[in-house]
Amino acid sequence: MERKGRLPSLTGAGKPRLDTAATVGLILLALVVIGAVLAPVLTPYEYGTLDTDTRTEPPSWEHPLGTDRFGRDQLTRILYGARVSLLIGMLAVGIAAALGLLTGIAAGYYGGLVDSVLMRLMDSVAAIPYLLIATLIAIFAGFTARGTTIAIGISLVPDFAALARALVLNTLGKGFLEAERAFGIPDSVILFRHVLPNIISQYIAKFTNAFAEAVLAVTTLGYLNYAVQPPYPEWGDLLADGYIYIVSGQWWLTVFPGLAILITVVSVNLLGNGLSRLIDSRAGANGGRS
Amino acid sequence: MFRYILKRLLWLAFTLLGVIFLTFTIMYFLRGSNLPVLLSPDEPPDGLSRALEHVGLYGTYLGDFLYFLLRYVARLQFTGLVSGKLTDINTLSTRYLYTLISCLSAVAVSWIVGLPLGIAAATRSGGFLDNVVSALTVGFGSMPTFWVGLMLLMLFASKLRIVPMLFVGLPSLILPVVTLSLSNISLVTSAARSSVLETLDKDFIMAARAKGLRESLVIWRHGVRNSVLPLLSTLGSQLTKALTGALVVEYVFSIPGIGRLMFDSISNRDFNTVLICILITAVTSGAINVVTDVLYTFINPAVKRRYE
Amino acid sequence: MSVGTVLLEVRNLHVSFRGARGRVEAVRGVSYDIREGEVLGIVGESGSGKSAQAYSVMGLLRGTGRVTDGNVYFRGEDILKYERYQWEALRGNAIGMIFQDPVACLDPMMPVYRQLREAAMCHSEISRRAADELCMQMLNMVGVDDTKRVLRQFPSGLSGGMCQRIMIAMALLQEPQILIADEPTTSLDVMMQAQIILMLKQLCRERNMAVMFITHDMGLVAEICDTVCVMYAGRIVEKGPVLDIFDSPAHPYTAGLMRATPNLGVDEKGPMHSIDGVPVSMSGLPPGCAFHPRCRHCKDICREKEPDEIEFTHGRSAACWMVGKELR
Repeated sequence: MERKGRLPSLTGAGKPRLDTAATVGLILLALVVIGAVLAPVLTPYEYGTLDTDTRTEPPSWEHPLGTDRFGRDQLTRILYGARVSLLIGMLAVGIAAALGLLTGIAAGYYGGLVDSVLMRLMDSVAAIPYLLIATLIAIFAGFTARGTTIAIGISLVPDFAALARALVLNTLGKGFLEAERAFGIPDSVILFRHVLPNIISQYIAKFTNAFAEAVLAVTTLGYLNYAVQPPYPEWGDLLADGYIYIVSGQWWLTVFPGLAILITVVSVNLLGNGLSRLIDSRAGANGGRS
Repeated sequence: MFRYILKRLLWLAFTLLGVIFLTFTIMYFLRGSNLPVLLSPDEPPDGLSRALEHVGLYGTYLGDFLYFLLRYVARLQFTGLVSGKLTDINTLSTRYLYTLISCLSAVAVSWIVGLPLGIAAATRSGGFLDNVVSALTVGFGSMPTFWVGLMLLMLFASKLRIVPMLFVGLPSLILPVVTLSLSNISLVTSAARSSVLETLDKDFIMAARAKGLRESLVIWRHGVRNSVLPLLSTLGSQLTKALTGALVVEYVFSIPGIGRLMFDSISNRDFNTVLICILITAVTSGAINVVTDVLYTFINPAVKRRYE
Repeated sequence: MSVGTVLLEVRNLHVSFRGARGRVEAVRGVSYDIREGEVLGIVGESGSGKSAQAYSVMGLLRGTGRVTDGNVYFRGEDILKYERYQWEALRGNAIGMIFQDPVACLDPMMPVYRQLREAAMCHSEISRRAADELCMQMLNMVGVDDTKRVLRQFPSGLSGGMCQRIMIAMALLQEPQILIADEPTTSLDVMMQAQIILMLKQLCRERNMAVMFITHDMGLVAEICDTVCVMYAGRIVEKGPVLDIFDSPAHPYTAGLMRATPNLGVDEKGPMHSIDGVPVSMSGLPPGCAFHPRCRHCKDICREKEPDEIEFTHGRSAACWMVGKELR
C-alpha cells in the first residue's frame, strides 16, 4: 500500500487510476452484468423450459453448463439468476444507502438528543440478524423477492448511517462552517455544498462493499428458499437443488452456480478495495504536512 | 462508569421489549385473540389469568400481552406455545446451547487464527505473506457460508469420511465451526492488518524507535497493543454475523439447534415456534452486542476516564 | 561551556521523497558539524527540509523518504550504513530526539511511568527499582512537582506542556550526547514555551550536551543557540555563530527572517515586515538561486546559477552571490 511521505507542498496529484486487482474486478463485474442483462439474447432457452429428454446431462455443446434434473439448461438459469442477485442486491443497497444517508446526516448535524436516539435505534437494528428480519417479513407477507430486498436493506442501514454520521461530524469539525454561518449562509446550503461532496466519495466505497454483502445475503436466503419461488432461478436455490447430486457425480450442478457467486462477489470486493485505496490516496495528496 | 452500563442495559431492555412486543403482536394477529388459546389445553386457569380477569383486562390485547410477558417470557417457559414433540423446555435449551456453542467457538477460532495472521501480514507489508493473506481474505470473504459448508461436508464427510455425516452430538459441531470460522477469519485478518498498519504509522511508534527500542518491542509492545483495541469494536457485528451463520449451517449440517427448529417450523407452517425462535435469537444477539459494547468501554482507557 | 570534539558531521546530505510526479528532493546538499556542548540551531520555514535532514540523522525517515546522497558521521563512524541493531544502539543512547507534538508521541495505552521506565532501562542494565528512582528524579528536574500523580496517568490526561516535559525527561534519562529537538515548543502556548526553553537550556548546559534545535522562530534561536544554520528550499543558505549573524546577516533570506520577527517592548514602531513572494514548492524550483524570485537584491547571475556555500569569514558561510555586500 502506497503511503505518503512527509513532503512539503505536493502540487498537482497525478491522475487517479485503479490498480490491477481493481480493474480485474471491474471487468469481471461488467461481464456478469452484461450476462444478466443480455440473458435472453445469449441463450436460446427459457429458464423454465422443461425437457424430459435431457435430464441431468453433463456440459456439452448444446448445454455448455449442463442441465438439471428437469432438463433445464443450466447456463440459462445461471444467467437469469444473475438478474435476481444483482437486482435485489442493488435495490437493497440503494435503500440502505439512502436511508442511512438521511439518518446519519440528521444525527450528525442536529446532534444532542436526536443523535442519541437515532444512533441507539441503529444499534438495535444492527443487533438483529438479517435472517430474522427476513423470516419475520416472510411470515407476514410470504416468501418473495420484495421481502428479501427489504430485509437485506434494513440490515444494511446502520452501517451506512454510522458512516454518514462520522463524515458529517468530520466535516462539521472543520472551522470553515463557522465562518460561513457568520456570513449568514443558510444551513441547507452549507450541507449541500460542503458536507455532501465529502460524503459521496467514501460512500461509494462503502456501497460496493455493502453490495458484496447483499449478494451473499441474497444467495443465502435463496438457498433457504426465501427469495424466489420456482421456477425462477436463483443461485443459492440452484445450489440447494444441485447439492443432492454431488454424491452421484453430477458436479456441474454445484460447481457452476457456486462459481457464479464467487466470481460476482470477488469482483465486487476487488473493485471496492481498489476504490477505497484510490480515495485514500487522493485524500492524502491534498493534506500534505511539512 | 456504572451509570453507563445501566444506561446500556436499560436500552437493551427497551429494545428487547420492543422485539417481544413485535413478536407477540404478530402472534396475536395470526392466532386470534382468545387468551385461553395461549394456555396449554390441559392447564386450568391460573392465578395470573384470574388476576387479569379481576382487573378487567382479560381477553383484551393488553391483557394478553401482559400474560404472555409474565407467564412465558419472564419464566422462559415456552411450553404450549412451541409445537408438539418439542414442548420440553430441556430440548429447547439444548438446542439453544448447540447454536450458541457453534457461534461462539467460531468467533473464538477466527480470532485465534486471524489476529496473528493479520499482524504478520501487516508487519511484512507488501511481502509474499501479505499478498497471499490478502488474496485468501478476499477469496474466503466472498464465499457464502452455506457454500463453504456444503463443500466441506462433501469433502470431509462424504469423500474422505473423516467426520460423521449424521449428527452424533458435539463432535458433529467441528465442521460447522470450521465453516463459520473460515468466513469470519477473513474479516478478522483484514481488520487486524489494517489496524496494525494504521497504528504503525502513528507518531508514538516513531518516538518509541527514537528511544532506541528493539524493533520487535516497538511493534509488539506499542504497535500491536494499540491495534487490538479498535478491533474489539467490531466484535459485536462479528458475533451477529456468526449467529446468522450458525443458524444457516444448522440447516446445511442438520444440527438440531434453534436455526434448524426455525426452518423446520417454517416448513410446517408453525409460525408460533418460528416467532419464539426469532425472539430467542434476537434477545441473544442484543445481549451479546451490549456485552461487547460495555467490554470495549471498559478496556479503552480514554473512554474509561470520561466516566471516572 | 566547553565546545570540544566534533560529534556529528553531516556532509552533502540529500534526501528525496516520492511526490505525485516522481521523486522530489527535500534536502539538497546540507553540510554542518555539531561539537560537544554546542547548541546548533536549524531555522527555516515549513518545507525547508530542516526536519527531514534531522530524521535522516536518526534513521527515522518515514514513508517514501530516502537518503539519496551524502554522509553522516557520528564520532567518525558512517551511520548511514548502519544495520538495524546499530541504529537501535545509536538512537536514544548516543543521539536522542524530542518532537513537535508530545502528546501524539506517547503511547496512549501505557501509563507514563512505564514509558519512562522503558527509556531508562533501554540502554543500561539497571533494575526496575533503580530505573523508577531515576525517572522520579528526572521528572523533578524537568519541573514536574506532583510526580507521583503524573507517573500514574495516561498521556491523554495530561497537557501538552506536561507531555513535553515528560518527553524531555525520557530523552535525558538516556543521557545522549546529542539531543535533537524538532520544534519542541511550536504546539505550546507562549508561557509554557518560555519555561520549557529555559529548562532545556539549563539542563543541556549542565550536562554539556550538544543540541540540534530545529525551529522556524528566530527569536528562539537568539535565546538558546550558539551557532545557527539557516535553511531555505532544502539547502543551508547561511551558517555561523548566532551573535555574528544577528549582527550582520549575510544572506537576504536571513535578513528577511530577522526583520519579520516582531520585537515586543522595543521602541521601534513601524510596519510589520514580511518577505515578499510565497514559499517555494520543492517540486517546482526556479532555476538558479532558489530564493531569487523573492530577493530584493536579485541580479542576473542569481537567476542562472545556484550559489554554493562560500566561507567568507572564519566560521561563517553563506550561499549567495552578493556575499560581502552590505545587506539590510
